[in-house]
Amino acid sequence: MLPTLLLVSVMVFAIMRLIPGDVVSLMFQDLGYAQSLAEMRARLGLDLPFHAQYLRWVGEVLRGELGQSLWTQRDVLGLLAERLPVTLELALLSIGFAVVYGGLTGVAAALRPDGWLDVALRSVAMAFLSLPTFWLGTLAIVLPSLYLGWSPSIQLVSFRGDPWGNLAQFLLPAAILGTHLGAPVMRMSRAMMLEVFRQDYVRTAWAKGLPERRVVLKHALRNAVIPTVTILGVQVSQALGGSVIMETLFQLPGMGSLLVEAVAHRDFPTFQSLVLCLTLFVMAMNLLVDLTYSAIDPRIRSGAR
Amino acid sequence: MRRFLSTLARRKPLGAAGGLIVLVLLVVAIFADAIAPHHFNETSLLRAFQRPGAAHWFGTDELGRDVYSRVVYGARVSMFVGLAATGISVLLGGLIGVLSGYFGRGLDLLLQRLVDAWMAFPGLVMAIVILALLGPGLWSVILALGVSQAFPQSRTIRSATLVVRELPYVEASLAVGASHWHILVRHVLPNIVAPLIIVASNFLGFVILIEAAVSFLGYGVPPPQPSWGGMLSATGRVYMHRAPWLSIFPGLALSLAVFGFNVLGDALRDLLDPRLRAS
Repeated sequence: MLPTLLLVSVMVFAIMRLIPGDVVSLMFQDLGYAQSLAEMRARLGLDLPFHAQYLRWVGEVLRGELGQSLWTQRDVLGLLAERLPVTLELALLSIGFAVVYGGLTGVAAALRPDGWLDVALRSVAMAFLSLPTFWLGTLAIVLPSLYLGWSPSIQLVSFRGDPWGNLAQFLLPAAILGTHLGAPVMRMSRAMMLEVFRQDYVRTAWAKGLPERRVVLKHALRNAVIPTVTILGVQVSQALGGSVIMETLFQLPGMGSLLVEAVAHRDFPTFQSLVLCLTLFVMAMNLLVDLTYSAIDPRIRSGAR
Repeated sequence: MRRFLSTLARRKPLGAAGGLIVLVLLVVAIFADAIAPHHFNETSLLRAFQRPGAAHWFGTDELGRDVYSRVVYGARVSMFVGLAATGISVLLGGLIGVLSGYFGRGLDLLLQRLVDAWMAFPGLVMAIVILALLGPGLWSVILALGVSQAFPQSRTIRSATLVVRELPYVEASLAVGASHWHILVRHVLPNIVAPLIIVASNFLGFVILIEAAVSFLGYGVPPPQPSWGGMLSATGRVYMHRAPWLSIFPGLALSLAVFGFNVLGDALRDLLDPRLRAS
């Protein structure tokens, strides 16, 4: 965890230093971010030697000083704090959706392999995996507005002011993202259920004459859940990538849409802090997945010691 | 090869259908000039926003360009970017995976921590970051997608290499004094071809999707070259209420392509490597 964190910080730091010097000059000429090249370089902290820049940057990040946005002149930390809840809500809702959809259909499909339900659910999952979320999102905005005269709100509805309105606003983008994220969950949980069904203890449970519900829920499901949890770590990173698209499409003011704006305006302090923040979030979620994994499987806990 | 194809068709009809879709799209991409009735950039404001009909199967866009022709040419961008980025990603990922798995120890530790760090960046975000650094262009997109996804790919290849390294005949080769280079080329490489093909075919659909996504966000192949993601972004979104066909047809083509690669990839995985079937 710690070496990875160190490497991640170096990589995020390097992003800005990879830009050739002439781009810096181009930036201040085109966008008027500074009076002179020297001032621009000083503002971006490029005037010091490499290692000194890195140490200064790490120190600043640890103190919570993320600098000022070049574009909006606002404090980047405040900007992030404003945008973070939107992305968190969208990502967590869509992952929740993915777990419920993928888990339920995966288990249902595994009950009768190659039966009609299995084939149908697998085809649906494959379709969800292939349909671009930004296209589904576009259709979900266009078609209802064409035929029903309904279109999603452009203004962000705050959760505190109107919890139901807020959830309703996030429901559509979260569901679209959730179906895409849920398809691999469905395939994984189906495969794991089939694997577990072949085990001796499940056969014993059947042979004892236990009812199907008990065999599936008590004996098989518990063991099939464990490997399925691991792919959620990957799904978190996918969910954040997907929320960049969904926020742009549904005009939600989250970190994803901020990233797109920051890149468009070459607003590097904002951009760098955003990438750092998103990456830390992925790492934190992966840690959580690992902890969950050891909490539900005692064998791993004892193995780690 | 013929036997493999007939097995594919018999045992994996859906996969074979996916293969057919991929084949058709490849033909369309290669012979786009002959198939498209109009040039992709042939504008005529007089026939802007025509509904899909006999003259223009998929309608026309805001500049009167034939959407069908643009979808046909779009196949060229998607296929080219998909294949080239997959090539880069599989070669780079394969190299990292083989080196990491074969030599092990410190190199493995170092490379795997690097892969860990790389994988903490959401794929799309990493692609956008690289594109922001490289600037727009066809090869920037290919490079950004290929490089940003190479590290995750290396994991599969690494584990395949780890298995081969422990086999008795590799040990025997080392014992009779074969060089590492000899073992890598003669023993390791043939054994990781199957996982490489599986990784590549599963990856193609994903790359095409990501290419469309970055184009949709405005960092893709620059206009006037038509790409499906770009068509959905620029014209599709502004005029989506007035002319929904601008969004519908490129999206359908994109979904079909990704679907084709996905089911083909699944079928190939099942046929080439029974051990991976469960996952």
